[in-house]
Amino acid sequence: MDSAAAIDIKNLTKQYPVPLKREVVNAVDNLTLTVDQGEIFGFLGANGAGKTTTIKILLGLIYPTEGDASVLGKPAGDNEIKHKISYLPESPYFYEHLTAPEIVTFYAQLFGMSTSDARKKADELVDFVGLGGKNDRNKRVAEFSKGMRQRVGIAQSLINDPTILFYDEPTSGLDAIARRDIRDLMLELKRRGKTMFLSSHQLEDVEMVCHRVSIIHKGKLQVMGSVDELLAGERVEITATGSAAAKALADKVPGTVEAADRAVSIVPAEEVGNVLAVIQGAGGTVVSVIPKRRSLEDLFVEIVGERIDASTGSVSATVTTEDGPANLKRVSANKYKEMMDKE
Amino acid sequence: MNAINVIARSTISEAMRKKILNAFLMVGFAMIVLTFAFQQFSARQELTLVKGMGLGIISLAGIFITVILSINLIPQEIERRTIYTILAKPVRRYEFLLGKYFGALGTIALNIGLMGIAFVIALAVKQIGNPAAVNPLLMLKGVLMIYMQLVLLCSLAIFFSCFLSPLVNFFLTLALFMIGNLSSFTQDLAKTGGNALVKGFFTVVHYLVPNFGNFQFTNPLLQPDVQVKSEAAFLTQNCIYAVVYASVLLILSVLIFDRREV
Repeated sequence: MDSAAAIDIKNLTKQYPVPLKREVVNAVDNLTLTVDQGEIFGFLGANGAGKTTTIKILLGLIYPTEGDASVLGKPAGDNEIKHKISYLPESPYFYEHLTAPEIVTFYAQLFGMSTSDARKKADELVDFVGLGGKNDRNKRVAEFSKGMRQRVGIAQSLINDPTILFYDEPTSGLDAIARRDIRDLMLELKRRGKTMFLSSHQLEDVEMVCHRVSIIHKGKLQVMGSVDELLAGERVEITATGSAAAKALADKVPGTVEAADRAVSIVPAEEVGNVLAVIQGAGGTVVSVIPKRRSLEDLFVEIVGERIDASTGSVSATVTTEDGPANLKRVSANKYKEMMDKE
Repeated sequence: MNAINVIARSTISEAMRKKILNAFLMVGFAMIVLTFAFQQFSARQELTLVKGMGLGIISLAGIFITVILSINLIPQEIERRTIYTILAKPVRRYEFLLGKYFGALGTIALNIGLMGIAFVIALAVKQIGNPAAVNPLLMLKGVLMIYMQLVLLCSLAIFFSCFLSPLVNFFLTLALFMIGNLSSFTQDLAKTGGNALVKGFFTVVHYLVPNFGNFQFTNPLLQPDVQVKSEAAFLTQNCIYAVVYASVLLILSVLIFDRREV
C-alpha cells in the first residue's frame, strides 16, 4: 500500500444481486486508482456508473464484494481516519427541524467538541458559506432552498478542517450563482492544498478545478489522467450540407450529428482530409471547417457514447429544430471501423 | 460516549416534534382528565376505576408511542439519507444505534413521565375528601413498571428495525408484545399441549418471547387486599429482567447493523 497516497483503490468490485434472478450486477467492476495527497481528483461517469457506490465504499457505508480500498493508508471506513475526512452527499438531507447553526453544531459535537466550541465553529462556518444573515440563521432547514441546503452541507464538511474531502455532485441542481459560489469555494480549497475526490456531472467545473480526472462507465474505469493529457489533440468541427453528404457522414464518420440535409462532424485534425473526401464524394457542400478545442464534455460523450455504441449499435435522440422534431443519429464506432477497414 | 449522547439528545428533540407522538400524548392526557367524569359509583369504586383507567391509558399510549417511534428510528435515517453524513463522521455504528435507542428511551420517559405526573395530580385532586384515599405517589410504581415494559418493547422494535421494513416490524412487534403478555398461557400450553411438537413449540415461544406479562403491577395498586410477597424484590427483579433482555437484543442489533449497508 502506497503510504503517500490519499486514496488507494485496488481491484475494487461491488456486486448487487438482481431481485428475483440468480444474477448479479457489477456496480463497481475491478476498479483500480490512486489519488495523491493535495490532488483534486475528478470522478466522472453517467448516472448509475458507480461513482456514489465507490464513494460509499471509501467511507465505509457499504462494503466491497472484492478488492481493497484505503484512505490515508488505513482501510476504508476506519474510525480514526474519519477525523481527517469529510463527505458532502449528493442532495444532502439534514434534520428538518434544526437551523443551519444548530445542524453544524450537531455535527461539530460528533467530533467531540464541547457545546460552546461547537457553536463557535458553527457560527464561523455558517458565515463562511454565506448563511450568516439574520434571516437565514433563524430559518429551519425545512424552509431552505436546495442551494442553501448545499451550503449547509459544505459547512458541515469543513468542521474538522479535513485532509480529504469527498464531494458527490456538489453543484448538481443549483442555479448559476450558487454553482459559481460553490465552484469558487472548491477553488479556494484547492488553493489551500486539500485533497478532494470530486464526483460531478458539471464537466466545466471539473475541468476548471481538477488536477486529474477519471471516467467510469458501468463500474469500469475507462480513462484516467491529467486534464491536459486527456484533452490533448486538436479537434475540428466540419459542417456540410446536402442530404447525400449528410447521410454519408452519418454512416461513415463517428461523432456526426445529422439533421435533414445538414451534418456536423467533430473529428481529430488528422481525419479532416478523409471527411472532406467523403463530403465531396457524396456531392455535398462544405459550409465550415472550424478548429475546436476539445472539452472534457467532448471526451466524456466520446467515451461514454462509444461504450453505449458497443452495446447497442448506435445512439439516437430526438431534438427540436426550426423545422420541428428531427431524429439525430450517430453511427457507432464499431460500424465506422468496419467501413473504414472495408475501404 | 460523546457521540451516543449527542445522537440521543438530537433524537429526543426530533421525536418530541413528531405530530403523531404528540397526538398520542394529548389523547393520554385527555383520557386521564376524563376519569373525573365518574360520578355514579361509590367513593372506593370510583378511585379503583380512576387508578385502573389511568394506568391503562398510560400503558396503551406508551405502547403506541414506543412502537411508532422505535420502528422508524433507523429506517427513517437511511431513507432520508441523514445517516450518511453522520456515519461519515467519527461515529461508530454501535454508537449511532445506541444513541438512537437511548434517545427513544428518553422520549418515552418524557411522555410516560408527563402522563404519570398528570395522572398523579388528577388522582390527588379526585381523592380530596375521599375516606378511601391513598398516597397518589404509590401509583408511580405502576408507571415505573410500564416504563420498564416499554424499555423492553423499544429494544425489540429496534432489533427488528435493523433488518425489517417498518410495516412488517410494526405488526411483528405488536404480535410479540401480545404473545409476551400471555406468558402464563404459553407456559401452560408448553406443559399441557397435545403432542411433543406443540409442547416444544410453545416451550420455545415461552422462553424466547420477552415476558411482557411480568410487568403487570396494576392489581396490587388497585386492590389494597392484593399484596405482593416482596414488592421491592418483585420490582427489582423485573427491572433487571428488562435491562438484561434489552441488552441481549441490543447486542444482536449492533452485530446486525454493523454489517448492514446503508
